[in-house]
Amino acid sequence: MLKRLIVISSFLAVSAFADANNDLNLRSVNGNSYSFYSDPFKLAEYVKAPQQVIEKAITHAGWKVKEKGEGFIKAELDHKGYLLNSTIYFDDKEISFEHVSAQRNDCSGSRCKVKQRHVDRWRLNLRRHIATQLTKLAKKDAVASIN
Amino acid sequence: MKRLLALLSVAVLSYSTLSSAAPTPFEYKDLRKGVSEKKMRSIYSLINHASDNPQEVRLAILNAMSQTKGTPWLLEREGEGYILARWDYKGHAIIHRIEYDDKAVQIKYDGGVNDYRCELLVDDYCYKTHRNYYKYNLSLVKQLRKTLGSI
Repeated sequence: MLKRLIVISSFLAVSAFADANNDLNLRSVNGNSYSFYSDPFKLAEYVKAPQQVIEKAITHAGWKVKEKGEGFIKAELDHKGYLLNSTIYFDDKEISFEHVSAQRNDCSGSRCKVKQRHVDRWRLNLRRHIATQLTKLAKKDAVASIN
Repeated sequence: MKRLLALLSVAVLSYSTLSSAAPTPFEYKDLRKGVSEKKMRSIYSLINHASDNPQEVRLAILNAMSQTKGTPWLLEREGEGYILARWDYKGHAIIHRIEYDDKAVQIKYDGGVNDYRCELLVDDYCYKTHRNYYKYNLSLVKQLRKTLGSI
């Protein structure tokens, strides 16, 4: 009896753990664990060219590609006296963000404080443009799957 | 022996929780600090559809997300039988897991940023957060009913 219980409980525990790891389906992101603009995107199989997705989003969001290389794109926003720099990393599974710097470039001194709410909004805007591109790809994939 | 039984029950519980991917009928719990049943049902009730093609349902959900009044909902991630959708508005965000199967679609709370963090989360249904949460979701539900009704 004791042996059977041990076997059953270990099997169930392992199955639950395996589900959680193999598939981000449901519970790996619990309520309230999201950030404002830095969460990575887990990519589906139909996203074949993440670099193109990112470059399109950068352009549509009004940012500029400053530098690009294997698995990363450095983006810059020069807007309303602010200079923002972010690096977007990508591979075939994920797009992630590193927000490098934000500074004022229209003045200097103690009165030129960076207003975080502006920086937040512009960074979020960049992320949302990537999400818009991913939504479009998902729709295309759904249409192709129906036909 | 008691420890073993406890371990077994925890394992059973976590297994059943992880396996519950599909839409499930919403049952309101009358919690002291929760919002009204009407508000909860307006978001979390099952939305039935007549399609036997999951891709059609998926497309209908994606279209509904884009057609809401004002700011659209955007895709965050997808998986088998669900779409994770995010809505950002004025520095706050709602993240929903929109689950679907061959009969119905259902919204479940997955997360929130700033004002829309859930203060009372039971079975993936948020019983208490900012009052606007229950208002802003109505447009998504309306569009889901519309797009699912037309397939």
